[in-house]
Amino acid sequence: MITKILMIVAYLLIAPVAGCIFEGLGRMLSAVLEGRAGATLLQPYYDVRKLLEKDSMSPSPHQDLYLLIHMIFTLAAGGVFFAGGDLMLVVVLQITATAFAVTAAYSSGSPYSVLGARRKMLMMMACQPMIIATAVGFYIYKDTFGVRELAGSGGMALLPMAGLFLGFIYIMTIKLEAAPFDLGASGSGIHELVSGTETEYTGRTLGVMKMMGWYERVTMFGILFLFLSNGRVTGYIVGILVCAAVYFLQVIGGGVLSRVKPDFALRSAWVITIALGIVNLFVLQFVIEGV
Amino acid sequence: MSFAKKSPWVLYFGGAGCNGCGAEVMAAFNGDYGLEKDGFKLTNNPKHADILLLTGGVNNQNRDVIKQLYEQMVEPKAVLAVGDCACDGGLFKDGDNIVGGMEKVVTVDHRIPGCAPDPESLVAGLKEVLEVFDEKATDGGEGEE
Repeated sequence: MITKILMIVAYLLIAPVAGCIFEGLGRMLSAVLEGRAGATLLQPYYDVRKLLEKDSMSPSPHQDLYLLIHMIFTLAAGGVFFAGGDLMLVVVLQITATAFAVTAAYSSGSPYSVLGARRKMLMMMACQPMIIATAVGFYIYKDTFGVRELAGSGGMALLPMAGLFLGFIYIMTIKLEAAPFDLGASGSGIHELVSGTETEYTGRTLGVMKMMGWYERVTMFGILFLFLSNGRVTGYIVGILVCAAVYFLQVIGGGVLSRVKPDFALRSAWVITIALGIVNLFVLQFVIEGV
Repeated sequence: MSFAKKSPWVLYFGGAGCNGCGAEVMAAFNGDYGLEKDGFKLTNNPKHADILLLTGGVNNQNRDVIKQLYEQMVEPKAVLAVGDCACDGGLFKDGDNIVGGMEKVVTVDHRIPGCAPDPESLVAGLKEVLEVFDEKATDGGEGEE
């Protein structure tokens, strides 16, 4: 019990630091690739601290409430994951968190925010089947949804779940709205939706939402880590290295590829879910497990 | 300590003018002048912006737009007028449709004169308006027009 509480506290304290540093490194890398001097490593931290110092104004009385619920579910998802809880529960908490972020964006009534919310909902439809398939894949392979057992026992899930691993990386890019899938909040470069779902978030609210993005990223990379973890130190080291490699690959991909249309995101995500995810599940069930 | 100085987000609006200052603003924000290293970032959302950078003058068509942009920015905030037109109407101040410089609509915190000012003076001016912004952030954001 105490270990679980300590893990939750560690997640709440370390996740924003890790998320911030990774974002800073990502920005530095994309600046180098684009031949700019770029910002410093701690710029995301300065941005959030400044935003937390600013006032905020809300266009609707409900927006802040929905964002508060989004915050609670995002933290709960990460908390359950890092306390070693049920992976399926983490997935459901994450879906609920995203649903409330979409509702918050809808509640403002601002055109850009509503368009962003629509896109965010499409993205949710694009990535959730694969995330659920991943959880099911872990269950078939290791007979449990428990994150603690998945991380700490059995063999490395990478080879038998290779399809799910590749598909999960693709879907994770959509889920975290990293370029070229930054459709909902129109985060970088092209600003056809001003700031999409984030248009109506101001000051403190925007700062908190940026931090929630860091928490969510750490949880998603945590799930990716489960593919590599086998309960031994080598597995943990390989896991952390692969997570870092995937992150930087996403940064490079975001710099090289142009932003895609929501249709493409949805279609490609479902094709990949079926081609890599579902096929992998059948192989796991009928070939590897031999049932 | 205030973090306002470390991460100023700038909203650029081009008023009634020749757009020469606008070209210089874009030049100042490219990689060569290192504004990104000081945390400066161009944003196109007034609700996220800290500094309103205005070029060109005020005319009857854009006065409400400028006012609205200013009102949508949350406290603390600062306004920088770039170029002669934004300072006092400049070359076009005698035109029938020109109301005058930006101070006719919003409280201007710092002015950079010139037709058009070069990127170096723009960078220097941005750093000066940053002091005003930082002061407002430290004092608790008093910046009503």
